[in-house]
Amino acid sequence: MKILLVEDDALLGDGIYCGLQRDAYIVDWVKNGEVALTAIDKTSYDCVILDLGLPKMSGLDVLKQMREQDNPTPVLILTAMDTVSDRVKGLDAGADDYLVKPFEFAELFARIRAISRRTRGSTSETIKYKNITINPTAHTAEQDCKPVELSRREFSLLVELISNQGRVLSRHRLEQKLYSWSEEIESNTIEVYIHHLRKKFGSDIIKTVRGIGYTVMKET
Amino acid sequence: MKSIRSQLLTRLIIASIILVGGTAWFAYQDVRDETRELFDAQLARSARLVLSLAQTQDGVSSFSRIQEYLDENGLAVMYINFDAVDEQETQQGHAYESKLAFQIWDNEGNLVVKSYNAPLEPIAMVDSGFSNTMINGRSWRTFSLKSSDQQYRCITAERIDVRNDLIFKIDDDLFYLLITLVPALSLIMYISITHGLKPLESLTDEIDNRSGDNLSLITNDAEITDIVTIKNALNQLLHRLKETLAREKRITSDAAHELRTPLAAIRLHTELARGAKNHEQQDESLKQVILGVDRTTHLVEQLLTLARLEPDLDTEDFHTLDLTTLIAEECALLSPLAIEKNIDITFNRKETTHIHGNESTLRLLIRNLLTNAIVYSFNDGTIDIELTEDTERITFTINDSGPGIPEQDRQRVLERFYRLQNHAVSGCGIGLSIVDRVVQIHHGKLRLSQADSGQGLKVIVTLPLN
Repeated sequence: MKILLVEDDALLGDGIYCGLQRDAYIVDWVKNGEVALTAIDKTSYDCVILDLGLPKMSGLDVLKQMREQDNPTPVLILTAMDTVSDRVKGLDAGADDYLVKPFEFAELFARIRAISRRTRGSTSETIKYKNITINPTAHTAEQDCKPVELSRREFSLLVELISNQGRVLSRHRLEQKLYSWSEEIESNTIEVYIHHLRKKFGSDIIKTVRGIGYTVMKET
Repeated sequence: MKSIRSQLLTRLIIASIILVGGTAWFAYQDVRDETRELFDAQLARSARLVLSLAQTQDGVSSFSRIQEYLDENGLAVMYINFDAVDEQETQQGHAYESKLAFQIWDNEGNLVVKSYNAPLEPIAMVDSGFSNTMINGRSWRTFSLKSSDQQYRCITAERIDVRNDLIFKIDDDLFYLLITLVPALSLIMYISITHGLKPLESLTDEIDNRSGDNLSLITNDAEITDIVTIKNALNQLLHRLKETLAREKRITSDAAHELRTPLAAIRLHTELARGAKNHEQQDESLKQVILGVDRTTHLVEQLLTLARLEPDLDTEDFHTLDLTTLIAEECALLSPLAIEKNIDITFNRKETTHIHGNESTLRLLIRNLLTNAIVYSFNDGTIDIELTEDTERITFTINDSGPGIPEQDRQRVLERFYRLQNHAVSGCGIGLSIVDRVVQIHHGKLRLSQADSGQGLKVIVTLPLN
């Protein structure tokens, strides 16, 4: 899962960034609203964690502009303001959830998971595809009730493909989802991870569409 | 504690008693003098009348005729029982006639005519004019007059108690009138004062009946200048109080919110430290926790400083200070920080620059501005401090070699908690608010502009000399 963190406070941003990374999220961290808008425009994120108290362009303005441009990326607002009117303002501007500082990682992660469940349109914690069960919370995958060991990126790649089953995903898009800006993308890495996944789940699970990308067939 | 009403009443009643008493005293004196003069005049006129009557008739026989007439009618008057008719005057005469007497003597010492109640010896010792004498144990007022031919002497006399009776009667009436006047006046004053104080009472009630947190304006609609004045003054006070309270509330709220971010950071880094997979990760997270605690401490300290600056500083804490020394001392204190970044500080100064100000807050101002200049300046940069003085003001300028502040942000950085975007330095956004506050306390001006070198920030503080 790829997350954009918009937080101007270095110390808090660093904390969230490290925590998310440790929980196997792929995170891009920006420190002001204008850069955030550019990032959202260029990259597809699964979730945006947005601090409202940003210099120059406030978080609310970023959110409003996002929604005006019909960007549906779920947004979780972080703020120090805790009155009802503040929350209503944030939610009305198009936020999906609201978290008041200070908070625990457990709550932050739970809210991110809830957001991604809602995006998937599912109420279940696990994602099922054929004989494969993926638990995004525990970062575990099972095939025929037997656990399958997956690396962080393999896991992210599998989730991305199954979440978009029936659609062909380009290599570029998959690369974006798997790497944050700070990480160097080596050539052929996607091919390597696809190869690993095929080895672990069977070669027919992921189809290659030549010249375009990869797809997981829609479950019938 | 005295009420306005009782004070006013006491004073007015005492004043009216003194005035009424004084009036009574003067009236009494006047009545006494005037009555005496009137009676004396009557006495003199009677003497003249008797003499002239006697003189128009030539010879003794006229006197004897008068004496005969008097004896008859005078005795008649004597026998009227005034007590029985219960009146002092009747158609025949007046009871007081017994208190009037006269004698006519010739120049040989013979008593020619006398009223029935006059004695046989002269009732006045003096030849002419007024005198007082005792007859049969009673005081009489007498008047002697000689006829123009010096042949006869007429003495008219009147018992003094007659006139005193009258004087006492008049004074009695006056006394009772005045005695009733004082309570009547007091009652009128009491009613007027009570009525006059009604608007004040209703204003008091309105203030009494409001709850402690009700700072809304007073709506009393009395159209009385004094009440309106009090009302306006109170409303102004309430307005100021409301503003102060709102400001305090805003500071508290801002501060609490501002503390949430570092607290969130500390919390998350602590969690990271606890869940760290290796020693290095844990160490890194704990370092961040300490950083967070330091930052929170700094924020709290700055907030406390700002809070202490909020109330109007007592001018008693203002002394004549040498600003040059203050700046030099603060520079010396902060020089390790500058040396660390290899920053060159130059201080363009005069020997002394005297100013009337508060030392601790001025030191705070210098320290904050200098720290900012050092912290924001790039390594190997320069900081130029200049202190100039003219007849009216002292100008304190600091040029740094940092990133400067864009023009559109220069006003906003003075607001609490406002931080510039992309700042490399973590501040809490209160430093310049503190500086601004200190400048306000000294009735000076704070201005930010671009450094003279074109790169960096120039802070100009002007402080008035008086």
